[in-house]
Order: sequence, then structure tokens, then C-alpha cells
Amino acid sequence: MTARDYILKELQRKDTLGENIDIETFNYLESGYIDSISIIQFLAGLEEEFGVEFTDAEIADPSFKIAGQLIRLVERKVMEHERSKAGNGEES
Amino acid sequence: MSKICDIFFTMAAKYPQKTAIWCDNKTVTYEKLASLVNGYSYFMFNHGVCYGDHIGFPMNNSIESAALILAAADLGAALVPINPTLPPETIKSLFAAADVNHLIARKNFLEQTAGETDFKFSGVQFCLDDTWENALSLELTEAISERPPVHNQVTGEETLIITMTSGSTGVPKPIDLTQINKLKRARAHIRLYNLTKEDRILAATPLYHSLAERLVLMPLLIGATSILMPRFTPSLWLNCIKNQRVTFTIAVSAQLGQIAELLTSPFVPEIDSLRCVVSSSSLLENHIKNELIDKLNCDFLEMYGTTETSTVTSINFRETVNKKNSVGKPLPEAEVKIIKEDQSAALPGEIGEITCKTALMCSGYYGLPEVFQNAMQDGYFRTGDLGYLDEDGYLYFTGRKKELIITGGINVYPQDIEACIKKLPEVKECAAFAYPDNRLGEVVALAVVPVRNTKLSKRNIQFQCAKNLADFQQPHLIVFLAELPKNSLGKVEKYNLVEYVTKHGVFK
Repeated sequence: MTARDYILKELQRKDTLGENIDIETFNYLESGYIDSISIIQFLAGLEEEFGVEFTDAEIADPSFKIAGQLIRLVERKVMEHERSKAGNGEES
Repeated sequence: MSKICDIFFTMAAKYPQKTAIWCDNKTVTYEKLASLVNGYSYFMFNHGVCYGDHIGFPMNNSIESAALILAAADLGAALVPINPTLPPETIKSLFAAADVNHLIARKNFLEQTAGETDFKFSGVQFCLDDTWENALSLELTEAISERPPVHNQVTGEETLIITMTSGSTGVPKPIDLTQINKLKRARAHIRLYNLTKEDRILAATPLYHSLAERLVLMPLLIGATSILMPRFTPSLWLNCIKNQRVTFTIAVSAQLGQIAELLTSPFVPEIDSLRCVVSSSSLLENHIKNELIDKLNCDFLEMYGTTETSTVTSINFRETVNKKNSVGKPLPEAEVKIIKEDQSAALPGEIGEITCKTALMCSGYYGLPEVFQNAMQDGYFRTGDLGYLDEDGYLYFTGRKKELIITGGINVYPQDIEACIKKLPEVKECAAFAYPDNRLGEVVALAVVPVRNTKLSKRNIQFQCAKNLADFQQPHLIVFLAELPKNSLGKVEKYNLVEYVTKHGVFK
């Protein structure tokens, strides 16, 4: 599953996203799709699904709350991970 | 009238053009809601939902969900509403405990569970908001002005809601609430809070909990307007109160704590519509209460109750000046008795288990009559909470007999989390416990003793929880210990854990 599909699926576990939502600018915390209870599972699930680990600085950055930017962050981290594995001579 | 839909349809005939429900910028009038309810009733009936059937429903807060409660009532069927974030295997066991025949779900849920979980329903699957293979789309429902003939068979004694108290691995206790139960509870609260058709009543907690169900049903039974928030943040709540001119709401104390925090900021909208706010779940600290009373300009009440008994006591903040930390006096429908450990009745001031006899009592645990019987003593329900009554009959809550964590107003059973963690071979033993938290009241904390010479990281534990537990059951704090504090009988001293981990462990 792509980062985009996974994140959109997870954001809609409690409620369906409105048709007019622009994912690029959509703040999933302010709109309550993820709240202080569900954030922990959302992050752990994301880290496990894509084999990445978010730093405290990444989580604290305002862009982390924006769906479109989070999607790109995960994609970038997956690519970096793949590259470093290839660099170490591991099979990707 | 003892049937919910008879009363609702009377209101719909009386106030056809009035707004029945507002939700997420959509509104529906009483006339339109009545047609939607009939449409759902006919559609489900024509596709095999019969009188007395049980319909599982991973529920979201929407106009459609509210209409489906009424449709189930008019068919004499029961809804089994559950939290859609529960792991599918848990949902499967909860549905099995409640003998669910049919399913109503959003496409997102059907998609997530497709091919993974076989719910083994004998009946029909309905997709609420879209189309999905092997599911009938409720979007195909047509507005119908007539009620289905089966409603004549309904007496009000039928189960309307089966609500689940326990999480995943513990034995679920399906609380059986008949239409008459729901109606009596709604009427008792309408009287208690003097609600009228002029009120605009906000529900901002999930509809799969009985609090929000009551907050939606009450206005629809008196011709008032229901304001239903699909999701909660303190800022969305304040804007909703302001823009929708909300007059009354009941919120859980953890929500109100977050709202009070936001109210200290200078950029909050001025609220002048609220008549009364009620806090449920646990007592608020005085500074939070004062902040809310000051900024929300309204009457403020607190209550104590359980899902089995509904509200037991209520108190207005004006009374709390003399009765500090009391949860109030019993409702006219309820009697409270404190039982000491030797089973004798406590005198005023003596602490014991809070037990309650009430006309609002649920009709039992579905399929588990002996478990419910064991929770009763001489007609009084044993709440598992500890407290005392004073000379004037005011109740004071002092703690819980049962092990329970209440996070953001939701009950979490520590054994559910422990059973999940113990499945990791690297875990020797573990204990989940409540840790105080400013935003959520309490959060789930977890103390883990790893098997010697094994590698176990916080991430392993987080992944295990993310995969196998619901969102509200996730531990917010994880601590590794060399051993758990135990008494001389080898039982983990949970009440000691917060202090113990602060001394002996490091939260990672």
C-alpha cells in the first residue's frame, strides 16, 4: 500500500473525509480526525507499516499535522531507508 | 407512549420544518428525518432484517447513524454500536457475544476487514456511505412517508441498544437497554435539566456510547434540535457552541479540562447561548470548574453514574460551595446505599462500595443473566466504585474497587492490555495502570519486566499494541522494570505502581 493510501485509510477510521477536502493542506489534528487518544496508534502503525522511525523534531514540526506533508515525509523516509540499505549492500 | 418512534413521529408531525439534527454543516428537518428513518426501516426490512434481530454497527457520528437508531426502534430490532477503531478480531468476539445477525458499516470499515475477518453473519451487510461488494448500499434508500407495518408489533419491551463494556480479551459485558430503558432515561434527564423544545442540545462524544445516544434522542423526543459533532477538539467544540447557538450539553470531564485550557487564551469566541453544561465521568478540579463557569456564562452541573444504572447523582456547582468534592444527591429515580466489606450498610461518613437501586437500571447483561445477578445485591447494583454518603445524603466518590483506567472519559480494562503484551515471548510479566494526565485525566501506562537476556524495545511493545488494541487502549507511557511491586501473596500492588515506577523505572 502506498503512503498516501495508508494515511488516508487510517485518517478515516472514525469518520469519512469530506469530498471537498484538499489533502495537501488538510490538518488532520485540528479537524479532529486524529486526536490526543488516537495519535499514538496512528504513529506506531505508520512506523511499522513503512519500517520508518520519526524523530521528535519531525513530530513537533507543524508540517507533521498536514496530511499532504506527512505523506511526503513518509515517502522520503522510505526512500532514504531503501538507499541506505542498498548502500550497505543489503537486498532491498 | 412507551415507544421511542411513536413520540418521534408525533414531534415530526408537529414541527415538520424545524431542524431536527445539525451535523458537520448538514441539517435535516423533522419531516426529512422521518422520511429517512422510514426509508431505512423499509429498506432493511425488505432485505431481511426482522423484528428482534441484532445489527452490529461500527458507528460514526452522523445524521444517518441517528436515523438508524430510530429505524431499528421502529422495526423492533436492536443495534450493537461499537467503536470502529477496535481491532477486527475484538469486534468479532463482541458481535458474537451480542448474537449479531446483520452489519451496518462505512465503506472504510468494510474495506479494512475484507478478506481479514470473517464475521460469520447469518444476515445482511449494509454499506452506510457508499457501495461495496456483498453489501447493500443504504444510499439506495428512498425517502418514504409511511412507517413500516411491523412497528405495530413493537411494544417498547424490545432491546434497542446492546452496549459493550469491556474491551478485547476480557469477557465482554453486553449491557441490554430496551426502548423503555432508553425512554425512561431520556425523560428523567429532560426533567432533571428542564429541557424544552427551544433547546439546542449538543452531543460531542461518540454515538457508540450511551451518553451521546441520550443527547441525540432527548431533543428528538421533545421537538428540540440535536447538534451532533462528528469529531471533537476543544476549538471545534467552542466554535460549534457559538455558531450553532447551543443551549445545553453534557461533556466528559476530560473534554472540559481541555476546553478550560483553551478558554484561558485571549482568542476564544464569546459564548452567550449556553444555559447549562453538565460534566460527566469524573469530578473536575475547582480551578477548571471556575474557568468554565466564568467564560461559558452558564449553569454548571456534575453527575455520577454507570452505563448499567444511568445517572445516579447530580449536583449544581452552587451546592458544591458547601459540599466540596461531592458528586451530589441521588436523582428522584435512584437510591444509593453504601455497603462495607463485611456486607453491612455503612453509616454516614463510612467508606464502602457504592450500590444503587434505580428505575433507570438497564435490563441486564445480554446472554449473561448470572453475571448481572452477581452484580446485584437486594435489588442494588454494585458499581465497583468506592465512596460514602454524608449526613445530608450527598454522595462522595473516593476510588474504584475494580481495576479501571479512565482516559478521555473512556473505560480501559488493564487486563485487556496486559493479555496483549504477554503474548510477546520477551515479556516475563507486565502491568497496565492509570497515570495522571492533564489533558485526558488519566492515560494508560505500562510497566514491563522483560525475560532475562532478551532484547525488548519500546517500539516492539508499541507495534504489538497498535496492531492488537483499540486507539484508546494504547499505552502513552512504557517503563521497563526489573520486577513488579507485589504484596506478600504475590499479587501486583497496582495502587503503588505510579509511585514505584517513578522511583525504580525510567519512562522510555
